[in-house]
Amino acid sequence: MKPKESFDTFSRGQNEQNKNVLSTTAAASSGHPIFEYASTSSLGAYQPASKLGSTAAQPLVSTKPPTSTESENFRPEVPRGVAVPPKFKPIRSGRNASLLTRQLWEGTVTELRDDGSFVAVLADKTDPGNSDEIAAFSPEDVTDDEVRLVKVGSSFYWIIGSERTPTGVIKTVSMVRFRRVPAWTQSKLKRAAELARHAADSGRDEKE
Amino acid sequence: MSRSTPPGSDEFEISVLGPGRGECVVIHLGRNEWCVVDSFVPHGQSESAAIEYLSSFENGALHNIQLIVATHWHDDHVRGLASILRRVPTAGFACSDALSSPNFRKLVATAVTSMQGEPGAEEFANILGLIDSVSSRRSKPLASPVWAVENRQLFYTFGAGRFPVRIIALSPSDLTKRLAMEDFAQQLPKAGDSQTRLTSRNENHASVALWIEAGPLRALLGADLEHTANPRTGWKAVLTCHEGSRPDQLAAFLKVPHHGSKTAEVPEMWTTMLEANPIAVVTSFTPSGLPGKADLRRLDKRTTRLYQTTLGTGKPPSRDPSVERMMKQVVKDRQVVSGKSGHVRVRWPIGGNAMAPAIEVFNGAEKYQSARRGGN
Repeated sequence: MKPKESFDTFSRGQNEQNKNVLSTTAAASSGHPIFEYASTSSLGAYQPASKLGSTAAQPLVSTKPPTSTESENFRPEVPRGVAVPPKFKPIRSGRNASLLTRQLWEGTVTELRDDGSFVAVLADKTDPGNSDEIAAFSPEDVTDDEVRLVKVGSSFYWIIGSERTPTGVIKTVSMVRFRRVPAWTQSKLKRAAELARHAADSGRDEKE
Repeated sequence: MSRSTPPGSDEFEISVLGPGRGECVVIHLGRNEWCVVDSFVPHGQSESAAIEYLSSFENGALHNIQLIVATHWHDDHVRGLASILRRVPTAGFACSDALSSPNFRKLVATAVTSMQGEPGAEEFANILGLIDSVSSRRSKPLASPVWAVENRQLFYTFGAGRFPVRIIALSPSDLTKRLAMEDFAQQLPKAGDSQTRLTSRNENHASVALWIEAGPLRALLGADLEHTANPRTGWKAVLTCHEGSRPDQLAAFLKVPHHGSKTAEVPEMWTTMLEANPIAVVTSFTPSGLPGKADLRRLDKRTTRLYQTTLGTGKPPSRDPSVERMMKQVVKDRQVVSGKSGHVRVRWPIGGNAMAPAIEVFNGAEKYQSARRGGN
């Protein structure tokens, strides 16, 4: 999971699960610790030990100051825990993941195997001077939404590249992407048939 | 002898060229006249291997091509044929009669209009387009392809001071042709079908096997013709036809059919159509792993004069180590199609008394060294 997604989940998830939890995105993103306060009624001996520290699951924290009627029972609020903001660097807007393609092939599926793997002829598009290669890909190399595109004769691009994450981590990645071409339509088939008929007629006219 | 030394006027030559995928046979018919059977485009080049070879003689051989034959339309056999026709528009062109089918024209047209394309079909579209354009200009002689069927003579030349040459198609049989035409009809896409590339390999049965007579010499070019259970199709049909037409004639040379595959193996071909211990040349088709070790051992039992245009797979290209590491993680059974075009050349002096052939190998082609003969 990307760090940016992890950060968002941290701040948003806490607030959605428990509105009483004192945790703000602004405070978290400022880099300061967020102190969490429990209500007086839930302090000390009243608080089951098993619930200590589980601020996300328990309504332990109050943001309201005590009223005058409560003054005789008023006790200063004691921090019960501290939420440390994530160590991830703040995400700057506009800095997204990027992929530098280092090697690109165009593949054509030539054989489907019983175990779900497929064999393809690979033409090197990065250096067309290189010879074609034949290789077998496992079904795990294809994303779920592209499995239906894996047929004998279908073509795809295989990319090996360097992915730079928004936090600056660089890793080598492999991606297989099948070409999505529109299905044959009646009008396109008609055009092909006319092309074939025209070519055949021009040859026949000459023979006659 | 250097590869670029042309044959003598009275020498009959068969040259078989082939990388890891694709093959081309160049035949000297005498008097610097030539025939080209199938074609491939060498890596990094834009024209047929036949053009490169014939141009190397620097004697006008390229423009003396009399006949071009496409044994079938698969891309490993036709790439670059259009470039030869473009250079030599006076050459005749022959291909399987199965390809005269309107459905084949439609299939070619759909492949050309498809967003996926198909190199073999596109090459054929170029060939048919060239033939059509030449015939529409009435500039002769490409009025129409010569449609090859079982036992049809495709070419014949004779005359004073030269040896006669006859080229005869041995296939497809009538039934094979009909089956191929039905196959084309089935392959035609329908509305709603995905636009995939044409990769069907069924039409090998409609390949054009050739019988060549040059003076007293005979040669058999097996194309990609395969064996079938039906006696009226494939090699069985060829054997029946041969027995009826040329029962006493045996060939001294064999271009091994279908890259040495066992699907093209018919024992009777060796006993009824070939001399004992003929010269046999096998080309590669790496995508199907042909010829395999077992195929070579089987062929080696038939003749001690077996030659390969290409040995095994090619050398992996040099790439960044991190790319190589990732490749190894992702794919299995990786093979590199050799881009090196091996060349086996056989020349027979037809005019003199001695008929002993001169066999030469170039560009990595080799004679098969079997364990039986103390080789690998």
